[in-house]
This record gives sequence, C-alpha cells and structure tokens, in this order.
Amino acid sequence: MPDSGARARRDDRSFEGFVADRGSALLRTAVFLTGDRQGGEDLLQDVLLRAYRRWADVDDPESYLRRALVNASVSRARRWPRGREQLVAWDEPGPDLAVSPGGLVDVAGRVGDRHDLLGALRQLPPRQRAVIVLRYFDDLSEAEIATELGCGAGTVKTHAARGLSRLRELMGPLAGSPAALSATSPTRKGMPT
Amino acid sequence: MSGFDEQAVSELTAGDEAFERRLRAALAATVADVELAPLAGAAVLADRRAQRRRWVASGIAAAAAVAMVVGGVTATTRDVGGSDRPAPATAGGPRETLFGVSVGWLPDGLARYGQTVITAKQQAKPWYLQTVNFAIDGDVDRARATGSYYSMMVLRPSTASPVPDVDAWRERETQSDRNLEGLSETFERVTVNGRDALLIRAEIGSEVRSAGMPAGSGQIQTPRVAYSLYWRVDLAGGGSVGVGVGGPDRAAVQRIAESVDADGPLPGPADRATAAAQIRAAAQTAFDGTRELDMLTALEDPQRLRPPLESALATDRDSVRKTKFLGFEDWADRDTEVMFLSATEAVVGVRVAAVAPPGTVSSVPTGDESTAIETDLRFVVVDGEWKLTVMSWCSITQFAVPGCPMQ
Repeated sequence: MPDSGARARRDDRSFEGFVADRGSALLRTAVFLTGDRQGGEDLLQDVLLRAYRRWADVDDPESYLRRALVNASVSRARRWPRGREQLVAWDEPGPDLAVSPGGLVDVAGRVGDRHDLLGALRQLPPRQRAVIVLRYFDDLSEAEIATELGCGAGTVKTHAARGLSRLRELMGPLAGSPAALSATSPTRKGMPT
Repeated sequence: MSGFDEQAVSELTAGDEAFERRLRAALAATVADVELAPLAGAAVLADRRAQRRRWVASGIAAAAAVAMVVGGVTATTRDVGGSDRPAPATAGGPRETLFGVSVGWLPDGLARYGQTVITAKQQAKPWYLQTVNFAIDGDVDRARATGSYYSMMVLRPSTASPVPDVDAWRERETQSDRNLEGLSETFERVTVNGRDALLIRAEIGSEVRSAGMPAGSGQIQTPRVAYSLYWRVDLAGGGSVGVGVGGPDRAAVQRIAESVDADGPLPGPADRATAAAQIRAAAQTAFDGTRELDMLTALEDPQRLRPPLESALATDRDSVRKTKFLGFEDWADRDTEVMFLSATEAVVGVRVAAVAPPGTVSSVPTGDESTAIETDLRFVVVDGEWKLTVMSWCSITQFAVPGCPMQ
C-alpha cells in the first residue's frame, strides 16, 4: 500500500489504525508462511513489535511488513536444528520452534480441511513457500516479489516453478480416484469423484 | 471450516493455468475466516513498552541493535530484567574477544554466560553480531533473575561497510523511546579513548500490575538505573565496527569500554582460504549419506558417533542414505560464506536434506531437495583439521540415526 503524495504521519494512532486495517491480511500471509494459525500469529506479533520500533521511518508499511514476515519466516525455519546446536557454547534456553513438533494446531476442530494445503506448503523450502504465497495469495508480480525478497526475477521464476511442481506432486492425489482420496485424506467429506 | 473450497483444492492437478487459478482460490478460501483480534495493534504497543524495559535493563539493547542495523531481518531477543546493583571496579577478570574486538579489563568476579552469535543479511551481505553477558560475582542465576549483569556487543559487517555512528544511534534510540511510559533515558556525548561515544543512562521502573492487566498497563515504581556506551571504530583497513558495553555501574562501563581494542583483524585462521575450503569439503562429506560410515571422517568425534551410525545402517540404511548435502547458503560474496569465530571455530550456512517424521518443523520425509533444511553448521579444529561438531551433525541426522548424541 504505497503512500501517495504527502508522507503519512507515523505515530501510535497510525500504527493502531494500520494494524486494524491491514492486520488480518498480514496474518493470513503469515499463516501460509509458517504453515499454521498459531505460528502465523506468533510470527506477525514478532514482526509488528519490530515494525513499531521503526514505524516513524517506514514509507510503505504493508510492503515493509510483508517483507519482514518473509524474512522472519525464513529465519525461523533455519533455526530449527540450531535449537539443539548452540553455536558457541550458548547456555541460554534454545530458540523457540516456529511450529510445534506435533504439527498443525487444531483451532476449534476446523483444521482438518485446511491441513492438506497448509501441510503441502510446509513441505516447501521457506523461500520457495514465500514465493508461492506472495504470487498466488498476495497476488504480487514476479518483479514485485523479486523486490520484496531482494533477489532476481529469474530466482523468483525458479522458486515458483519448483514450488508449483512440488505442490502438484503433493496434492495430486486429491484429484485422483476415490481410493487415492481416502488414502490421502480419510477425513475428507464430499469430495467429487 | 466454513471457508475451505474443497473443489478448488481437489482440482489442482489440471493444466498449469487451471492449477494456478485453483491454487489462488484454495489459498484465499483456506484463510477466509482468519481474522486478527480487533485490539491487536494496542496489544503490540503494550507489549513493546514492556519489552523495551527489559531491553534497556540489560544495559545494552543488542536485540534492538540488530533490528536497527539490519532492518527486516530476524534477530534473537532475550528476556532480561533490570537492576541497579553496582559492580566493583577493580582490575582483573578474563580477557574476552568478540569478532576480533578484545576487551582488556572487566570487573573482578564476572562470569561469562549467554553468548550469542547472530548472522543477518542485508542486501545479500552478511552482518555479524556477537553479544556476551557477564554475571556479577559469578552468579548466573541471579543475573538471569534480576538483570544484574554486564554485557558487550560487537556489530561487524563482513565487508567494508559502515555501521551506525553515534548520531545515528542516538537518533534511533530517541525515536523509538519517545512514547514509552515509565522509562526515562538521558543521552550524553562522551569519548572512549578519544572517539565519540554515546552514553545512555536509563531509569527503568518495575511495573506493578493487578491480576489480569496486560503488560505495559500497570504502574511504574522503584526506578533503577542502567548505563550503556556505544561507539564506532573506523578501521585502518576500511570499514568499521560498532561496539557496545552495558551494565549497572557507570564507572565500570566506562573503564571496560576504554580497555577495548577494536582494531584487530576479523577473527580466523591465518590461511582463511584453505580453512574455508576444508570446511566446505567437510560439510559435503558429513551429509553425503551414500558414503555411509565414511561420513565419520568429517566429524568431530567419530568414535562416539560410529555405534549409532552403524546401528542405523543395519536397521534402516535407506534413511541414512537419504541424507544429502544440497549447497551453501547463497551469500553474494562467496569469500564470506564461512564465518570464522576464532582461529579454531567457524560457522557456515548450508542447505541439507535428511529424513524426519512428518509434522516436524521443516520435515523432510523424502530427503530430496524440495524439502531442504537451511541451517548453520559449526566447525572446530581437531588435530589440525576442520571437523563438523557432533551437535551440528546430530541435529540434522537425529531421525535417520537414532541415538545420535545431542549433547
């Protein structure tokens, strides 16, 4: 949401207003980047905390926050093994896991249906996942994604192609025979045959 | 879930364009009912106020420093409390070196703890931030509980890039704190060995809240004081280093700062190129599952790891063989992809694949490239050769090699 004309005032009130206006959209992006609702909420909370510190200097809040979400999600994914390997004799508690080892958090028992898509996204490497989310959920162009991620358009194309291919591979059985459907997702109801 | 479009997902294997169209629909539908709480923005402000108190209480806002310098990149934040307990300013104590910056004096009785190394990337170039805390009288538990400790921070870019000067540091501190209730900071221009420096004196209050009140909404009582010094050293060979020292006693903080020698070279072995080549080779060997027991030749303690690896090969050889090295982290500058912490210790970012059960974070059930883990590996010198640490290896292979020691 780029600014137009005069720079918007950046104070606490504008921060709260922005979060009220665009917070849900950012949360949805965060949910896809982390692969579950709880992880998305945690990620967005962290990013908003950091964004508030820089709020006065942020020209394009939505772009800034989206970029921060992507960077933070990639960084979180990288921390997983490091939770066990403290780099230099760390004696503090290890970093939090981005997602609980048990996998998706079932919110009000509704997660079963979304599990397949989120689960498939979680199988993608973080940057590949980010490209897919920005391209097909946030509807950014390849050039815009390249700018957001700080990489070339070719890299975006590669990530998108690989990500789509992998998603098709992971989700392909969903469109197959009833037998394949039941084997893949036994709790699914009302699937077309 | 009301918003999920089963049909859209079920048809995702049609042609590419159809797949893309239905993927968009499925993504939108999957989170259609996901809404942020109405007062989330206000909650962030309250949390920020409480968090800021903790950061300042540490005497040095290391986490905030990362956010400032490498904006948009995640940094680890640590929960630290505040205290105004003075430390004895007497000679002695250990000599510490962080990224080539050494400190020659610390108050007696300090015990090092809580060291962190953070690599962040800005415009494809890595920045290194190393922090270390020192517990007073060696009492780490009390330091953690009360925030009564000293700290040091070194901020260093990998290439000849500038770090924030004193004015930039002050500007950021001023901007970020202007709305914080219960926190009073004063800034003073001082010098450290003739270099401009910024001394921040922060009065930190303890927040007293009633049950159920959110953080940041209580009364601030019992102000205490913490000091931090920040200065920039422009190096003779180009580039610069940002140094910070914090603690509860001003005189001690100043004396620590004046004992700092920041003009040393980046840490590492004399022949960095050869060492980096050895490290790269060891990383590739350590995660080539097809080499089976030969992987041990790249590891820090092969005798210790041989029994669990032999057992894994006997019971589930395929899982071991799916362990795969996929590549190094794609720093723009290849010369800096290996981060040397000292002459005998280094970290390098890699992408690897290994078997892990479904549901695990970054699970890699197939061990192929599309499910890569990105992580940092730690290497140490053993008998003159660079080897991957047991912890690094086992943290990746723990599911393929049950019993791999994690400590």
